[in-house]
Amino acid sequence: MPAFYLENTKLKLLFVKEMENNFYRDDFEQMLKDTTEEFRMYPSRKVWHSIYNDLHPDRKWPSFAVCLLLLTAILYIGIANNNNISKTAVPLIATTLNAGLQSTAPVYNNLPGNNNYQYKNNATNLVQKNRQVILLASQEAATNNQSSNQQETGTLPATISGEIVSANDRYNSLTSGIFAPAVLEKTNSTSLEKSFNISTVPVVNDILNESITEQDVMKANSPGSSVNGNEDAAVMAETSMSDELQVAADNKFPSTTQLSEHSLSVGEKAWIEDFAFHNLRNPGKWKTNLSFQYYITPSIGYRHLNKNNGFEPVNGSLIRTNGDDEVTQQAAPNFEAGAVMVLGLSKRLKMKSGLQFNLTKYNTYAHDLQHPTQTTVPMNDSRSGNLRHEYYNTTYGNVLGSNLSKLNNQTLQLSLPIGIDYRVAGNDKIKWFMGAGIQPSYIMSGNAYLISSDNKNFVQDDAMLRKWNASATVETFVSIKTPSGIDINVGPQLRYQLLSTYSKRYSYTEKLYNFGVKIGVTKKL
Amino acid sequence: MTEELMLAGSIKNNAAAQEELYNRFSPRMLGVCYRFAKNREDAEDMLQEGFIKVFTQLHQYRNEGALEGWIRRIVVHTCINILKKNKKFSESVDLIHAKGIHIREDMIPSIMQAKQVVECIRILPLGYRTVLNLYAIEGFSHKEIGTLLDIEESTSRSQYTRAKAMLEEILVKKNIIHKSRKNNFGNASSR
Repeated sequence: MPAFYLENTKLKLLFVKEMENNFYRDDFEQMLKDTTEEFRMYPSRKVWHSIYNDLHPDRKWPSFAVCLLLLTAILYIGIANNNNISKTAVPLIATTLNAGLQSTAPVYNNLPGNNNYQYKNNATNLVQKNRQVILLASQEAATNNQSSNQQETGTLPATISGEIVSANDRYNSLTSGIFAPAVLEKTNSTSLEKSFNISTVPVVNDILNESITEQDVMKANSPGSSVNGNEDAAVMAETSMSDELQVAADNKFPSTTQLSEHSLSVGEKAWIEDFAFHNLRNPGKWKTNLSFQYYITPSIGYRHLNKNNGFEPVNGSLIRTNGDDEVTQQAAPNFEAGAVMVLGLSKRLKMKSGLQFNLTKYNTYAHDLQHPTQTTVPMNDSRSGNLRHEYYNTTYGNVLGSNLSKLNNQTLQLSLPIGIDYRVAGNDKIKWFMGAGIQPSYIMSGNAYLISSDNKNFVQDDAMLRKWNASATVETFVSIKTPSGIDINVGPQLRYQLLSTYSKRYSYTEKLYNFGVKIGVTKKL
Repeated sequence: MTEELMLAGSIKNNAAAQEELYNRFSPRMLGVCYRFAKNREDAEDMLQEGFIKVFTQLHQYRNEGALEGWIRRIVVHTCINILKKNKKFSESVDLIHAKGIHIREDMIPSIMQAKQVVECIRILPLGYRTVLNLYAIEGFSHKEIGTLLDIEESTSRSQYTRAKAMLEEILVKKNIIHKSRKNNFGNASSR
């Protein structure tokens, strides 16, 4: 078939379609089409940045770098906070037991037949408590001095400057509407008026009631759009702003200094207030950015035990290496379960917080002893940092004994997880996220089995568990959207406990870590 | 930069060419999105998705018809797809739920000219607004609208009639059109 014939047919079809359109299109539709045809709005710059990031994912490395830096910072802060004991401890003094304390301490070798029964040296505790009171009082005084100094110097100016900055930002954001480049609407008002009697009289009042954002400031350039009457505050605003509109039309943008030097007239202030009133953030947007997520993370939990006071086991123990080697231990199943609210901060970044229960657990193995045996546990003197040994009675042996018992070292925690998720890649249906978080936790209950000074025994003392702790998590997961609109999240998680399980008094530091798989369900609110 | 260079560059994933194309067409396309969207932020989301599709499908553009028309078609379809994900939307295009809708005087915005008309369109119920946008402004037929929105052609027609009546009422209230003219618009929605 000849090419010109095809071309001709195509033209005919187009012509027929156009005729049909014209035939059926009534005046009203034509008016709507004409009026809205030239309507333009200028998108914010972030739209292009998002498009650019989607089109050129290989150039997004700075975002990765920032993510990594953030994660490293969180981990570093955690690790740095954990080194307090060892850094503040004074060099170790000889670990021989104090003869005086020994003489005042009754030794109970024939205790009731309860296997778990333990006894602490009361005299030692009493002396220790008195010392702690004095120490706490002096620390409190020092803290008060420090905080009052901070108030006088650092804190107050910082607050003031913060307010100045935010006030400036607010001013700039509002005034930017005045000085933004005018968007010219090429509406052919003359023809419209001719055809449909379009009225353009209440122009100025309409500007005041503008409900579109500051970027859409438009200039009425049609002949019929001049101001007729209505000499109210709006007119004043319009008149006083005429210079700025001229500047905008000329694409000359005054600097911030110029803006701050420019004294606002009553009309301008009224306009700004009105503008702010009509451009309040859409309250529904928060809701649309908010999701509810509940999840469970089964994991394998383990621990790392380390001395924090550089002591060597007394009585020539057979085992002198690090804490982990001194104990027969085994990883155990852990889990965390919780619910969080997720707030979308941007297209890629989400922040989340909520409540979570953690069960941490690992097992150590001990031999049952026939009779309760007295042993000592290494403790840090809270005042001097020196090592001292507290007496306990126990029926658990680490080296010698008969049957092997499994000791459940576990804690039940209530946490307040706070975290961020960053969308690395994905589309509407499937997304890949990387996340990090911190979990301040309250230890509700738990069992603590402490290794003795000579590494030959275990002692149960649940009171040695720290009441408050914190963990850091790093995770990556894939989020899959189901047809019902619910997102299912699955991915690996690493959880690391930032503070020792035990209180600072104990000369060992225990850090728990978990490797798990987080499974979550997210629903948009 | 000429349109040909801009097109060729954009197809080759050249960032400068893509930005040029975006800068040239985004203001008008955002105006289109704004008529469909609930607010400006949603409109920008639609625009973003639309332009990503435009850039990823640009190699399919055959120079048949204006580039702007091609881009506009993709953007409109993107808007509809995004709207269709919203559960409320499917309810709002259903006629049963559209009965008894009245526009209060205080809901009508006071803006000027094109913006005035656009804002008046935007205060229509979602279903009405979408059908009206597609039929009266974007030039879709009721059959096409029916396919696009998964509704009957007759539903689209009725939605449009109601939308048109409501919009006329609003425009009269705002003195954008006069009553005498309103009656002259007639009912020629038979495309």
